[in-house]
Amino acid sequence: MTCTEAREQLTAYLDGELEGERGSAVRGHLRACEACRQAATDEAALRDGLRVLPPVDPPASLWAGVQARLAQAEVADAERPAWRRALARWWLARPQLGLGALALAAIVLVIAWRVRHREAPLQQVASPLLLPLPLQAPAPAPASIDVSDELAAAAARETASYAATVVELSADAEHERAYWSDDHKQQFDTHVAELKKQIAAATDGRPRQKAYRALIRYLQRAATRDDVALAGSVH
Amino acid sequence: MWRVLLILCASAAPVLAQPAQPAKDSSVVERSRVEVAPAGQPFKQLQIDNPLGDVRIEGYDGTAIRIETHKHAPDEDTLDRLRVSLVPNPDGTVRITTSADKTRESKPVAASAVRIDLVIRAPRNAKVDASVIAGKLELEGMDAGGELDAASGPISVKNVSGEVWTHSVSGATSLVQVFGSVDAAAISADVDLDTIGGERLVASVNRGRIAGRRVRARDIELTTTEGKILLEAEAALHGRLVITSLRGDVDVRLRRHGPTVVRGFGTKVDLGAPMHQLPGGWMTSSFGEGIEPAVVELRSRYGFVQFVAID
Repeated sequence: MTCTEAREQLTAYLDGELEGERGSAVRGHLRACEACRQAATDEAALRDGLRVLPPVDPPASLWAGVQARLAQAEVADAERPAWRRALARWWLARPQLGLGALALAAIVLVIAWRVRHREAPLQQVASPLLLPLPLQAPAPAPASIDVSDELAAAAARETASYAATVVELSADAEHERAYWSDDHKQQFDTHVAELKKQIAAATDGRPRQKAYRALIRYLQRAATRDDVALAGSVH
Repeated sequence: MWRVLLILCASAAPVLAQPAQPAKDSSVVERSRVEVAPAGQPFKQLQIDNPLGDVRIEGYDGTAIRIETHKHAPDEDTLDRLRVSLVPNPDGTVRITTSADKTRESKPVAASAVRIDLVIRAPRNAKVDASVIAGKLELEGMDAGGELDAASGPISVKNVSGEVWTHSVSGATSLVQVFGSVDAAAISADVDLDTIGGERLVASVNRGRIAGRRVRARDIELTTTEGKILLEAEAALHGRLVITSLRGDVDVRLRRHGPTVVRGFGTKVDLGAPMHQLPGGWMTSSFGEGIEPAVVELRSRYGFVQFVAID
């Protein structure tokens, strides 16, 4: 797999939409290619950072502006000569055009249905490597960012970096898993599940980051050692 | 009663503060100095959280805490939004936090336009728990260790005793002359260790290098996923060194004081002495004879492993 191919599939990979060989190929490429791995980490961190930005209400002036533009359009329409308004009505009412529009809409619907149908099975499959990390719902980006917003976002970015590292190390540990005995696999799964529970239970900010660090260290040990005390304590 | 006195003392900061003055880059700067003396029991712990700039903590032989604050802002109104809060508790803990207040009237200002730097002189035997985001975090001359946390700012620890924990996402970590157990973790940054002596040394980096010299601990555990590990250490009697990396090279020079057994695993292994093969692709060498030897385990799945014993 080339870097271009890997980058094209990166978004789907991070969304857990690649299954079987496709996911394995991207994972294998990320393992070998530092640049693509960095791109994957950056993208994961960016997405997680965007998800936790605080929501912002649109300013009242925005709606007022929209209303003003609508009013201007109505005034301009009213000022047009009567023959131009009549021509416009006739043009829209022509039956041939109506049929054409109907046919076009049908074609668009068929294409949309086919595209949706093709994507649907992929969305149902999530890679087991992508751990269910506690993330907040996506929110729109603020119009003007203040230092207080930036500080909140910085803390969220820090947590997102830890989350991205967990994804990366999970892939490494998963690769090493092939060399483990069944007992080790079971101990590993139990311990990872416990550490993930602690992450989910921790409050935002430092406590959650601390919980992430425990999981990161455990995964790193699991990925780098043969005889790691898989059920052992982590500092 | 003494707590009230301390808060009053802290409230006196504006009195001690120099008048705000425009700097060369048309920003305004305010410097202030506060000293908080213990009225009852001595200060045992400092908790510092400064997301807006640098933190430097220096130990000294006194009993009071001296805080020097440097605030930078583009204008007077923004400067007024920058707060340093100091809360001493009866249990001997002092909490220092910084923030930028936000009101409906305040105009938005970028984080890069404001800054609060703290220089704190504290009794040597106080434990420190400090965190920054992008600022520099320095701890020097303390005797009770501490826990330091940075997102992208560098961490520097020098001449410190006691247990030390450091965590960083992307800021370099440097520990020099630390006498006590050390636990250093970084995600994408280097960790440098120089003159470390304690019971236990644990360092882990995901993407970055670990370099250690003049290291002596009974239990040493260094781990990287991507980066190299370079270690020049002294083996404690019956000590244990576990140096592992997934894709980085491992290079260890060990000054030994007794019998030592070394095991190595890597794409290429050089233990600096005749080697014997063990099951699972491991190689082993022994240096000296005796019971309860020091044990060295070096492993890199995709990197080279090199070991040199210095008698």
